[in-house]
Formats: sequence, C-alpha cells, structure tokens
Amino acid sequence: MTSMTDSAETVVVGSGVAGGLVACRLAAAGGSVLILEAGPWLKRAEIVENFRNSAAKSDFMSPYPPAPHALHPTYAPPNGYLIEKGEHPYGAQYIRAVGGTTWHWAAAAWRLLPSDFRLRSLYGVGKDWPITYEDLEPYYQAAEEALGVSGPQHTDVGSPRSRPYPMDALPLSWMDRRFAEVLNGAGFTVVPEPAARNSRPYDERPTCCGNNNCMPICPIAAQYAGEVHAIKAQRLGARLLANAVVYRIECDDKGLVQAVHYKRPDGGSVRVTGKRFVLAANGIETPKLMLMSTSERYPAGVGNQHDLVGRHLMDHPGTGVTFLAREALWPGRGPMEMTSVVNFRDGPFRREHAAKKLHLSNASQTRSAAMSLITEQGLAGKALETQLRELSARRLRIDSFHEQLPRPENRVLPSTAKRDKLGIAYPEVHYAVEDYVRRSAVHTRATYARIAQLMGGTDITFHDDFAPNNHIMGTTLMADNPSSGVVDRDCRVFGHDNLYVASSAVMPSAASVNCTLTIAALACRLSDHLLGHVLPTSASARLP
Amino acid sequence: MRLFMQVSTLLTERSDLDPSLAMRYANLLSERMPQMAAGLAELAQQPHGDAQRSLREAILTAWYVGQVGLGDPPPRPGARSSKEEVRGPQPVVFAYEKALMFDSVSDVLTIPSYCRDVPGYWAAQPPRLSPRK
Repeated sequence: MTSMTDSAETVVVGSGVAGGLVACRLAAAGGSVLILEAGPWLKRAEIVENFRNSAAKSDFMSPYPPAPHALHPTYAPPNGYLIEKGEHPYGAQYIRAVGGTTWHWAAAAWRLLPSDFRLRSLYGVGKDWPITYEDLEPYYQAAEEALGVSGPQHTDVGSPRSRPYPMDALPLSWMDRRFAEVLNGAGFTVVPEPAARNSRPYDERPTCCGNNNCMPICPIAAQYAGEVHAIKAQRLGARLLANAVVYRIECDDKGLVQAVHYKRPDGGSVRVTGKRFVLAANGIETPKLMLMSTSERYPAGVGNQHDLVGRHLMDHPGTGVTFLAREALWPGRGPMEMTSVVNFRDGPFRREHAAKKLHLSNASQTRSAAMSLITEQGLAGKALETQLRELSARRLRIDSFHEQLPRPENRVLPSTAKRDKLGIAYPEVHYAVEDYVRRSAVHTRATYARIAQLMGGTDITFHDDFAPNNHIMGTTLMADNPSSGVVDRDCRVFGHDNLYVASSAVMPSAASVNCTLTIAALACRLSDHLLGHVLPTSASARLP
Repeated sequence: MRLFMQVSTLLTERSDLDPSLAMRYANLLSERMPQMAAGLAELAQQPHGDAQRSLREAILTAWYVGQVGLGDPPPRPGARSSKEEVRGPQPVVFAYEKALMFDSVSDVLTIPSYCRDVPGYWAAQPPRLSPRK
C-alpha cells in the first residue's frame, strides 16, 4: 500500500456533538478544519425504518448496526465489542457514525449545579473542577443556543442563568402535570426538564409533535442530533471524512503532535498532519486511542505520563420502579421524558451518599404490556385488550441517575486480546459500583415507595440493577496539574501543547444529570480558547 | 389457512382480521413450528387449553405485537434475562403499524415514531379508562 497523506490546520477526531461544535466554530472563523469520523454517514429515514422493522424495540442500539470497520457495542444480541472485566457491567451504548450518540437520546439538556464543580471543597468527596460554574455559564448559554434548548423560563432549576432559554418549554403532558402536582404538594421538587427539543421551529428544524420515539430516533429532527453540526461544519468549509478510523497519534520528542493516522475500511493507512488536534471520540474511544499511541518516547501512550488516561471512568448507575397509578395518566403522549425530581441533586448528604436525579418516563407502555400479558399471563381476546388499556393508561416508570465518584480502578484500556478487522484493539472496561452509590440507592428505593404511595400505586416492582445510562465520563480528567489529571483547564493534554480533548471524558465530577449539554458547553469554551479569545470572561458566545 | 384464520378469530375475538397478514403469519409460523397444523386443530376445539400454549402465544404475539417470535432483549443492557437465553430463531417484524396492540389504544396513544396530532395535544386530559367500543 502506498503511503498517503492529508493535512489541515486543525484536525478533529470524531463528529459527534463535541467534534461538530468545535469544527463549526473554527470553520466559521475561517480556519482550515478536517473532521475524521470512524463510522459512516447515516440517513434518518433509514434509521426510522430500522426501528420499525426491529423486533428488539427496547434496545436503542438495534436500529444502528455497527459498521464492520468501526464497531460499536450492541446488546441484542451482544456483539462483545465492549469487553467487560469488572464486577459490574458498564454496558455503554454509543454510536460510531457521523453525528455520534445524540442520534438516540432523550435530549435532556441540563446544566450542572455550581456545587457540582466543588464537590471536594464542599463535601470532602470526589474532586473539584479547576474551573467554576461561572466560568462555564456563558458557554452553557452558547451550547443551548447551538443545540436549540427549550426550558422552563420561570422555574429555578438550580443553575443560575444570564439569559433566557432559547425556546420556551413544551407544554407538559397530562401525566407529567399530574405527577408534578401530586409530588410538589408533598415536599418534592418536580420541574419541567430542559430539552434540546424544539417547542417552535428552530434552526430549520420543526416543532416536536409527540412521536414518542426520542429514543432510539426522532423521526422529524425536532430533537437535536449531532449531524446538525457535522453538516453545518461542512457548509462552513470544514472537510468531513467518514469511515476514517484514527488509530495512532504521532508525537515528536517535545510532545507536539505531528500527525494522526487513520485506516480506511480497505485497510489503507493515511497520515494526517496539522497544527493542532482535537480528540472528540467519546470517553471510551478517546482514551483507547491515547493509550494505543505508544512510542519510544511515550511508552505508556500519549498524555499518560502519570498513568491517568482511561482512569476514573464514571456513569450514572440507575435504579427504577414501575407501578400502577390510581389515575389513568396514559404515558406515551408527547416526548418520552418531560419532568424530573431534582431535590436530591445537592445537599450535605453528599458527604455520605450520592446525589441523584429521578425522572418519570413518558414512553408508551403498550408494547411491553402486550408482550407480558400474552406470554406471562396467558391472556387473549377481549380480556387481553381490556388489560392492555389498563396497563397502558396506568403503568408508570421512574428511573434515576446516581452520581458516581471518580475512582482510578474504574478504567478503560485497549484490549491486548481482541482486535477488529483493521487490527485495532477492542476497548476493555474495568468497572464497579461503589458504596457511595449503593447507600444512595437504598434511599432512592424508599423514595420510590413513597412516590408510588402518593400516586395511589399498586403492583410495585423495583429495578435495583444499577443500569448503565451511557453517560461516559471521567477518562481524561481535567485538573490543575499533570499529577492529578490528563487535561488542563483549557482541555489541553498535559505534556502535549497542541492536543486537546472535547468530551465528557474531561469532567472531574459526574453530578446527577445527563452530560450532553456540559459536553457541548465545554466544546464551545474550547473553541473560544483555540480562536484565541481571552477566557473566561469575554466569551463570544453567539456563533452558529 | 382457513383453520389459521378461524383460530385467530377465536383468540383475538375480532372479526376484522386482515387476510393478507394472516397468510404471512401462517406461513412463517408453520416454518418455525412444524406441528402447527395439528396444533391449530386442537386450538380450534380448545382455544384456551394448556396443551397448545406456545402456539397460542405465538399467534397472539403475531397479531398483537406484529411479529413472529419474541425478541426483546433484556430491557436494559447489563440486566440478565432468562428469556434472552432461550430465544430461538431471530424474530421477524411483519406489521409494526398494523399490530393490534396499537389499535386497542388508538383513541389515546400514537404509534411510536408516528405523529398523531398537533404539537402540544398531550397537555389535555386523556379519556378516562373505559373499554374500547
């Protein structure tokens, strides 16, 4: 194979929400930008058809068959791509394709709380961020404007705002409204969830009309997906190469990255030089790439002089409950998730056990109810249809995110045993759920029982399995110094002055909310840094 | 085929089943269940007996869920499920939109991935629970 080369001023690895935003903002400022995406382009209409034709409708990866040259984990059936070595399955879902994993998400667009940045100072656990909420606030706003976030303008959700949400909140479903009324009357704090979902036409995308299919695919693009910024970046002059699987970062002896190398599906290798490089390939593939990039000068991999790359892996381990509510509330009308219980997100209890957010599912219960009524209860005919209406109207499900602490033993490594068809290592995960989370889950279970009681619940079933929530955080932590983390406050990799990470991998605390808006905010902040703006006070927040 | 339709009508208590769907379900089920003809004869006599439980469930799953074969994985990755382990050949979806489960609730709920009404319709109180006419 002849050796091939390419070049750009800025090379971005990954085209999800993080890579897309960075590429867009640099391209808008006139920079030469090349995005390398491991997976293929996807067409929304084909994903929708895949969903309708799939028998595994509760598996959100099912409409996204992995590309043979850029595998991602699937679970129905399991393809073994994510090698599990720990005592608890990490079970992450992520999509290697243009646009990344925001193809399927519930679009929950939460900001962290100011206290989430100061966990160690306030509560003596976990880590502090080297930046504050105030540093990130303008970029949260920028991210909300870029993604298109609708939120409750007159409700304090705990994260101070300098400006209104770009869009007003969608009206709550009847079910969510009743749930909020009942719980708020009993001392809970239930709020409408800010969401990257259109409540009016925004950014050339339509208003949500309640297809109730946010996961695994919004059929009409009322919900943000990463392809939005991948496409915008191209329009602004960035080049995007799909099916370009980066497998090596090449550094000189001073640590400056000279090039990244990618493989094409046919196995051919291309060397891409540049002035600076941004890794935006999520919290598993990014550290895997850094650790695979060994050399004589960097035998432990890039950025790994202190053995920190890949460590401190976190998620939001979830427990849940289902029960039959007294009232006919009919989940399934509107988007799949609209309200959250937020009064356990912060408090002195965080010294002892994990913060958490609880959220009510508004996904239709009809299909799972039909299957269990037929195969478990043996019903047929009119009796089946009567019960199906009963369960569809009254079965509620609540889930939770528990905050995990960054622990070095939870980690991602390139496998030494398994490689894909291009010869690139599978990721291997070592993961456990700590007592800090387990103690909180005991309280969560009691809280579920209380909520069920308030809703007149019967037939209560608890789901205590610490389910994965695909919020891959922590594997290239942001810190003040290289002995504590992998990147500095500007998301620059310690020891490699022209290498940056745009990912939830840099988050030193997981907090208790979906991490996508924080990924987007950090990507906007990184863009300003790369453009030479003075950080953080003079943020030029408004951009495409 | 006539027998399959007769049993389907008995099991669903519906008289408006789609004959072209019936044909497709019958063909695939008979491929997967070689003893289907004998089982159908038995179900025609005793639709709710114990002997043909798996055939009855397969026929009802076809009509109500729109697919032949079960197929859902454990509801969340990482969770273990015995159903997953005993799963047979890959399930096949025939008629997502025509699955009777959606018809049972179509006065209130959309078929996920389809739009049923104007944005915000979901804010109004849904009908109270009552049997579908």
